[in-house]
Amino acid sequence: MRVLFIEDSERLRVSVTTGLRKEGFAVDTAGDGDEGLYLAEVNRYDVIILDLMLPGLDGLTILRRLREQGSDVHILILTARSAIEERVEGLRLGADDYLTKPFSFDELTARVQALIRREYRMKSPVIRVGGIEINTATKTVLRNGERIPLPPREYRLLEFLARRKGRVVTRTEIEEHIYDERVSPMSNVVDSAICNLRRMINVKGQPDIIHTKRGLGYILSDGDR
Amino acid sequence: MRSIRRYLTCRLLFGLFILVLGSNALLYYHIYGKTVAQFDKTLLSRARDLASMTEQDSEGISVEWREEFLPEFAARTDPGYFQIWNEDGQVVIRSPSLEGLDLPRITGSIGVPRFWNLVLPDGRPGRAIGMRFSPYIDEEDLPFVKDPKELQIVLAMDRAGIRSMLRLFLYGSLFVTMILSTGIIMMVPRVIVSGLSPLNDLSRHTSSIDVYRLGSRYPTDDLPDELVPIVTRLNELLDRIEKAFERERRLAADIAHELKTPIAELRSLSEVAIKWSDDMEFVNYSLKNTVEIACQMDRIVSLLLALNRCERDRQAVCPAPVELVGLVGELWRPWQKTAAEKEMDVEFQMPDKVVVSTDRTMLSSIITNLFANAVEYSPRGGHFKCLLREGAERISLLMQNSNDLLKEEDLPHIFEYLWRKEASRSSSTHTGLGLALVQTFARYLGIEVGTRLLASGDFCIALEIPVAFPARTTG
Repeated sequence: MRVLFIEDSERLRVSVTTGLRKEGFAVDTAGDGDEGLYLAEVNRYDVIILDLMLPGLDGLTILRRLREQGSDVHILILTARSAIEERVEGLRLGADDYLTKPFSFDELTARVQALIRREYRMKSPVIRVGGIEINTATKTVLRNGERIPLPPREYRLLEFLARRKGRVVTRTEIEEHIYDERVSPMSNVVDSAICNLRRMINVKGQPDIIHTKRGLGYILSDGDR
Repeated sequence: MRSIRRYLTCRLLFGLFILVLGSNALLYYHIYGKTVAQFDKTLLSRARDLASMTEQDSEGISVEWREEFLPEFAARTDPGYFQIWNEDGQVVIRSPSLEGLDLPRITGSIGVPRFWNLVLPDGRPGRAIGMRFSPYIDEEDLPFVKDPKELQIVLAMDRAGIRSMLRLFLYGSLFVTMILSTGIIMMVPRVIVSGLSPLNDLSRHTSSIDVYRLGSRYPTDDLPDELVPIVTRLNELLDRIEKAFERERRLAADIAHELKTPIAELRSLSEVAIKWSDDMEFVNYSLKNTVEIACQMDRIVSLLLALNRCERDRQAVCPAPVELVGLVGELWRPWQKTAAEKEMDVEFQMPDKVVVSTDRTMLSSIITNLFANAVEYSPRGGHFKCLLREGAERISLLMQNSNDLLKEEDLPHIFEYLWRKEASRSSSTHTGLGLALVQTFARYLGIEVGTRLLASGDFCIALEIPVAFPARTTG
C-alpha cells in the first residue's frame, strides 16, 4: 500500500516514514505544500497523510485542489491544530480522518490501515484466500495455521493482490502501489517479486493462488482462473 | 461597613421629621398669633367703646354705660369685666359683673394699649387690655373744664374659646405630624431601596462576570446619570482586562501550539525507535534528535521565562561600560560562516571605539537575535549591512538585510510573542520569541527600536542606544 506523507517537520517525516515502511507501506514524502501537491497529482496513493501548516501551499489548499480535480484518495489530516472548528473545516473540505499532534504512532498506523480497508470496502483486517490468511493489522501471513515470514516488499505485494482478490491487477498498478519514490522499478521487477512471493507462499501439492493473466497482469484467487 | 441605604434612611427620616414638625409648629404659632391679635382687636374695640361713653364736664367725670349697650359686662353667666380709674386711682366705674371686686390696674400709654392674660374673677382664663384715655369733653363745656383728666381702663374677657380652638388646632397638627412621620418612615426606605436598585443591578452584573464572560459589559441604557461615569469607567476597565486575558489566553494557546510539534517529534521518534530498536541507524538518529528537541524546547522555555521576568519587572540589570564596536564584532563571529555559506554580501561600517553604559548580557542577546534573523531570513546571495553611528546622547546601530519574506503589513506583528511569518513553523532554530525578547530587553535598557521596509524590499531595524544608562526605563 502506498502512502504519501506531506509534513514540514523533518524529524516527523523521517520517524513516521521509517515506521510506516517497517509496517509494510511504501511511503513517499514531501516537505512543503507545492511538492506534496505535485506528488499527489502524479502518483496514485492509497492514503495521503497531510499536515495543514506547510511552507508554500497549505494543507487545506492541497486538499481543496485534489478534491476539485476529482481525486478520491483517502486523506488523513495530521496537524497541531486541534480546535473543533478546524477539524470540521478539514473534514468538510473532503478529508477522511483527522489526527492531532502529538499522536501515537500505532494510532496513526491503525487509522491509515482503516482508511485502506475503507478503500477496498473491507471491514475486517483479515483477508483469506485459499489456505492463506493475511492479517493486515499485524502484517502477518499464515498458511494452514503456520506463519510465513515475508520481507516487506513481498508482504506489500501479497496484501495488494489480496485486497483485489478475484480481480486482474496490472503490472503498472502494482508498481504504483508497491514501490515508493526510492525505487525505480524496472520492467521485470514486478515479475521478479511475483516469482519470489509464489516461492514463499506456495506449498507442494496445494494449488497456486497467484495466477498470471498473460498480457494483462496477475490475479489472486482460490481456484484455477 | 458604612451603608449608603442606612445613612440615607436615617438622615432623610430625621430631616423630614424635623421639617414636618417645624412647619407644623410654625403654622401653629402663626395661627395662634393671628387669633390672639384678632381677640386683642376685639378687646381694644370694646375698650374704645367704653372710652367713648366716658365724658368730662364741669361737674366731673361720668360714664354713659348702660347694660343694653354692652350686655356681656352685666351677664350672669360668663360675663366680661371692666373697670375705670381716675388719675388718683379712685374707681370711676366697674362692671356689675365684678360685684365689687377689682381688676389689676395695668395700663399702657394712650396710643399703646397693653394686653396680658389673667385669671378672671370667676376663675376662667381671660385676657385683658389696659390703656389710658382722655374722656370726651363737649364743646360747650370746654370753657368750664379747667383740668382735663386722664383715665385708666382695664377690660377683661373670657379667652377659653380661643384657647380651646388653638388646642384643637395643636392636636390636629400633632396628629398630622404623626401621620406624615409614619408615612415618611414607611416610604423613605422603599424610595431609597428603589433609588439604589441600579447599584444592586450593578452588583448582580459584576458577580455574573467571571473569566469566561469577560466580554460582558454593563448596560448603560436607562442608567441614572450619576452612575453613567462609573459604569463607563467600569466598562473601560473590563475592556482592558478582557484584552489582557485574551493576550494571556492567546499566548498560552500559542505556547501550547509551539510545543506540540517538538512533542510530536519526540513521541514519534521514541515510539518508532522503541518498536524497531534493532534498527540502530534510526535509534541513533532518534537519540540525536531527541537531544536537539530538548535543547529547542529549553530555548523556548528560557526565552519565555526571560520575557516573563521582564514583564514582572524581575529582570536583573547590571549597567556597566560596554565597548560596542568590539561587542558587535564578537557577536557577529558565530554568524560569519553561515553568511558565507549563503553567499551573502556583508558590510560593516563602524567607528574605532564606542562606549555606552548598559547591560552587556541583555544587549548581547538583542544583537545576537537580530544577527540570527538577518542571516537566516536573508535569501541566498543576499546582503547584510551593519552601521554604527555616534550621537551626543545616543548611538544608532542599524542593520539592513535582503528580504523576500516580510511585507509592510507584517511589521506591526513582528514583535508579538511566537509570531512567525510562516504559519508552518517548520524552523526548529527559530522560536518566534526572538524579536519579542529584543523589544522587551530594549525597553528595559532604554533602547528605542524602529523597523521599516525599504523600497528595495530590504528589512531595516534601528537601535537607538543611550550612551548613559537611563535611571528608570522599564514599565
